[in-house]
This record gives sequence, structure tokens and C-alpha cells, in this order.
Amino acid sequence: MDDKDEKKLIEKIRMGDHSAFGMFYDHYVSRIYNFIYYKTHHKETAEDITSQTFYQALANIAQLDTNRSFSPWLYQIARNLVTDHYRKQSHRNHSDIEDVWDTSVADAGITIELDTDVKLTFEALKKHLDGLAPHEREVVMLRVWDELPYKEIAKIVGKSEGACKMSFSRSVALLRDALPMASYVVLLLKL
Amino acid sequence: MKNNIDIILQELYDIDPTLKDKEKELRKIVLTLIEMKPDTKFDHSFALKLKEELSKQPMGSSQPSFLSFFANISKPKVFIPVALIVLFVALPIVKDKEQSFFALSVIDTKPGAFGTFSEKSEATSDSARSSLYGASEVTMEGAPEVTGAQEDTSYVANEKGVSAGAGGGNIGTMSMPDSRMIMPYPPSVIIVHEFEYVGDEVALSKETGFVYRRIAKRTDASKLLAPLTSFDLGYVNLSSFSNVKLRTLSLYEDKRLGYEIMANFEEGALYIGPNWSKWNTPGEELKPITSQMSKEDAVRIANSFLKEYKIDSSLFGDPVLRNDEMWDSVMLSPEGGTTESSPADWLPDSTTLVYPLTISDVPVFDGGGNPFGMNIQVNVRHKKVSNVDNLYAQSYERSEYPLITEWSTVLAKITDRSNSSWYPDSEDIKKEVLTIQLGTPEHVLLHTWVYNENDGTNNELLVPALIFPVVVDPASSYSFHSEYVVVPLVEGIGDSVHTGIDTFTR
Repeated sequence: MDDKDEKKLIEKIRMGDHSAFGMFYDHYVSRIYNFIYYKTHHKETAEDITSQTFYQALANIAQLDTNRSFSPWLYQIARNLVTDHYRKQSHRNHSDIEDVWDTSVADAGITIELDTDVKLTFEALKKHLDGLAPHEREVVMLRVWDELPYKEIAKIVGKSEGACKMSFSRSVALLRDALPMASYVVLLLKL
Repeated sequence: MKNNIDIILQELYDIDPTLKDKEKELRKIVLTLIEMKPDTKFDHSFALKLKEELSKQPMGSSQPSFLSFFANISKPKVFIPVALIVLFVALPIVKDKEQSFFALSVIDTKPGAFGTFSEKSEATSDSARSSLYGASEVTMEGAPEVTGAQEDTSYVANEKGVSAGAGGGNIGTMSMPDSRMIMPYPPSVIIVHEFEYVGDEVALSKETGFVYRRIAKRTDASKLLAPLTSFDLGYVNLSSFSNVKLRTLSLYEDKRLGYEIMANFEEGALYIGPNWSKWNTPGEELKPITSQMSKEDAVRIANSFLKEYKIDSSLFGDPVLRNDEMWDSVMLSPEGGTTESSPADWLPDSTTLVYPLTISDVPVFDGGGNPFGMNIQVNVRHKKVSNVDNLYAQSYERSEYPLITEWSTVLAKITDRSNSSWYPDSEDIKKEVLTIQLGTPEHVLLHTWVYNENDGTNNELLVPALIFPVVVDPASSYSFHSEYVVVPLVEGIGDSVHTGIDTFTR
């Protein structure tokens, strides 16, 4: 979907065209779901937040400036809802919890639901990946797991392409020390 | 996977070339990261169910907007008086604007007012050349935010920090804008286009030219709004809301083949489409389409529509059939009827006309070499206009920019457009070169979008350009589905523009 098509679609959506919103939905639903899943590692939670994301988008689409792009706006809604999800669960109302990677058993009262099949892998990797800042993890996931180009990642995370590239480079440097053990664990678990 | 790892590694080397010494270690890290990818268990039935639920929701339901207000009204006895009020009040407004709303409005600004344009290439020059659409991004640097100089016609993009444009990301599509994406399975034969200029040498005497930037034209809808905001609907009292503005208006004709009319008062935009509930009757047997509508018939129907609904089209040229519809060249026989390989079931039920926009007698084209302007879709089955879109108030700021004056530079740009295909060389893929001959160009304006890094907005620009006609029809078994190739004359705008080059297989 190029910028021209997107602007036209936004215009039609703002004018109440449901089919135009449907086109956006088809384009983004799996991406948004995956994005949320990477931050929650729990299918039901990811589906619930994906639903909320699109309900919010539908409700507020009229406020979207046609000069702005749909994707960063949509991803920001999803990002905020994930943060809300974990903050609501935390009795301490931690403001620094942005996704499941930021949670820990030290967060008294928080219930972390994870899909059973990823639980072991996640726990093994978490101690390495949670050394990264949330936005750094996000860039790594979008580049490596979703294979998005930096141009698109930059739009999603609201930073420049150069900043995203630098972020990824820094993350790899940090992981150079952390990953050997993690990779061993992951490969074992996948056997 | 290997290809993706190589690309990621190359990106790291671009940032820090010394990392190349640690390739083995880095390769392992990236591979491990890929191995970490969890199975997200995306459930298509969940997606379908959610879509169905969303389709039942009114747009903008969290706020009592004017649009949702109309969408939710179901009682005719309420709707009729409200609609009458709206139409009664709206008529004088429309009448006031009838002669001028879509007329051209241009505000002069200082030279270079939109900043400098630059192409930020993400790929090597070779891969950029080989990309269908180029691999670079055009941005504006040092550009002020989009503003209009007239109070009522200005638009201020004051929300910062969010970039624009959806970018690519469609794995497996031909319109892949980035060479690092996974490409679809290659065809057995790919056609490589090369351009050859066969026209006359052109003297580029103009050293500067105007770049136009579209600005939103707000409509004063206060007269329309006033009676509504004092209206108590029974379930909500509109007068209790404060500082209420009117953004959009949506009306529909409650009759067979009726229309839905949507106006955006902030953008100065009008959209007319079918009221689908009155165009499609469940269970109704549709008349088969046995032949495509002729252009003459489509134009006659569209012109009658414009006249009947008093839509000012004075800024637009004579309509042309949109040539990006594949059926036009592939599915139909030259006579316009059906062929053995194109049964009638495949014929589209509409045909689209483009009324080309002209600015000061200069025609506007898009990057694919297609005329840009108002689109009117004619329904073939009902012989009736179904849609009018891309109809905006033509309000612009314009600023003077240096133009390319060296003919050799233009020729070099054409050569750079030659497409060596983004499929990798392989013994399994046969490449055939198709030479596209281009004739003597004419001056036009190129409609394009440019991202403003300062305020995170996308700007709609009209840029001086040359348009080259394709003078030699390529071999009949291939399609080069652009009649023109457009080359912008402003430095910094070029490779990212859709050139209309495409690769076809037989």
C-alpha cells in the first residue's frame, strides 16, 4: 500500500467508508497481532489487545490527520494497550512496564500469562533480551522477526531510519556477550 | 533465510565496516535471533470474526461526531426534519461556493520555501537501479511546517514526531520497494526493460520552475452547524457540547441506485459513492456483462452526471480511460468484446475515467505516467456513475526551485531507469531485454508525495517534470503498461518516484 493509496483510504474512512477501513484491517491485522504477541507471548492476550486496537482505531479514525500515516498511529495504539495491560495487572502500577519483557517475579501481584510452548524458551531468553530497552527490542523484533525494512520500522517506532539502524547495531553488540548461552538453550529447546 | 541474514549483516557493516572482521560471530547472533522467533499462532478465523464485529460498529463511535450522528439515525420521522434543515441551510453555502470552490488558488511563497529535497538511498547504486520503484526515499529538509497564508484556507500540521507513509512490507508482491524483502518465487522468464531515447535533443532553457504544495481548504460550515448544535435528539442534547466544529457531512439517497455523499470540510474534499445497500440486492440475478462500455458512452454518462450535479470540472481536461486496468489490454479482444480466453464473467462491472488536472495549462501526471485528476467510475451494468473521488479544492502554495538544465543529466536519469530486474541472476531464470523507445518529451507537472522530516508530515507536491512518450510498441506478447515515462526536473526528486516500469511474464 503506497502513501497515495493510504491517504485516499484514510480520507474515505474519515468519511465513513467501512470497506476502506476493511482494506486497512486486512493489511495490518496479522502484523499488529504479531507485534502484540512478541510483547506478550500469550495468544489470548494478543487477540484481546488486537481487538481493542482495532476498536480504538475505528472509533478514533476521524481524528487522524490525513497528512499522517496510518501505520505508526495504529502501532502506537497497540503499544499503549500492551503497556496498559501490564500496568493494570501490577499492584504497584509500575510506569516502567511496557511489555512482558519488562515484567519479573519481583513485580508483586502481577500475573504473567505465557503460552505453554514458549514459556521455557521465553524465560531462557528473557534474561538476555530484557537487557535491551523496549524500543531496542522492538527494532530487533521488527527487523529480524518481521523482516521489515528500516524505512518502515522507522515509521512504526517514530524514529529516523538512521536511529533505528544504530539501535539495531547497539543491540547486536550487547547480544554478542549474552547470546552464546541463550542460543544454546534455544537450540536445545527446539530439538 | 540466508539472504535475509546477509542483508542484515550488510546493514551492520554499513554502520561499522570494522564489524566485517567478526562476520562469523555476527552471523551466529543473527541466526540465533531468527531462531528465537516465536510461533505467534495467528488465527485467521479470529481475524475474520473480528472483522465481522468491526463492520457492525459505526465509524468514530467513541465521539458523537456529525458523521456517526447521521449513521445512527434510524427513525424516519427524526431524519426527515433534520435532513431538511441540513439541506435548507446547506444550499446557500453550496451556492456561494459553487463557482469558486474547486477553482485554482495559488499563494506565492519565497524561493525554496519547502526546503531541499534529498534522496536517502538505502541500497547500493546498483540495487537502486535494479529496483522497480527505486530504493530511496525523498525527504524535505529544512522545510517549514505546512501552512496556508489565508486564515480560512490554511491548514496547520502541528503534530510532530510521527513519520508518514505505509512503506512496503508486502512479502510476495511485485510492488516491492525494498530490495531486502523476501521476493516471491521467480518466474521462468523475466523481461528486463531498457530505455532508449530516440527523440530530438531538447533545450532546457528554464533555470527555475515552480513547485506546488497542496494546502487544505477549509470550508466555513458554521451556518450548517448552528441549528444542529441546538438540537436535542432525545437521546443526546447536542447543545451541551462546547466548541463543536463540523468536520464531515454524510448524506445518502434512500432509493434504488442512490448515492452516498460525503464532504470533508477541513480538507475541502468531496466524495460521491454508491449507497451500496440500494445497489446490491441480495439474491438479485445480475445481468451478465457481455462487452465493455465504450469510452464515448462512459464519457457521455460521466459528463451528464457532472452537469446534473453541478460539479465544477473547469480545472480538469478531457477525460481519459484509466490505463492501469489490466483487463483493458489483457482480457479484452481489440473489438472490445469477449474472447475465448476472457469469458464475460471476468469483465469488470465498471470503467474509470480520469479527468486530468491542469495547473496554469500544464497537465499533471503521476509517477507512473498516468494522468492525475478527478476519477469518475461508471457502472457498466447500470450505465450510471457510481463513484467520484479525488475531488479536492485545488489550493496550493508555490515556491521557485532550480531546475535541471543539462540535457545529458536528463538522459542519464532515463538510463538509470533501465531495469535490470531485482531477481538475482540464476540459471533457472531466463532474462529477455525489451527496449522501450522514448520520444521527444513535453513539460508537465509530476504529482508526488514527499515526506517532511521536520514535522513528520507527508506533503502533496506538483513538481516540474518532463514526460516522455513510449513511441515504439513493444512486442505484442509483452506489456509495458505505461504510455509515458516521467522524469522530474527538480534535484532530489527522482528515483523514489514510481516510474511505471514493470516486469511481466508470459
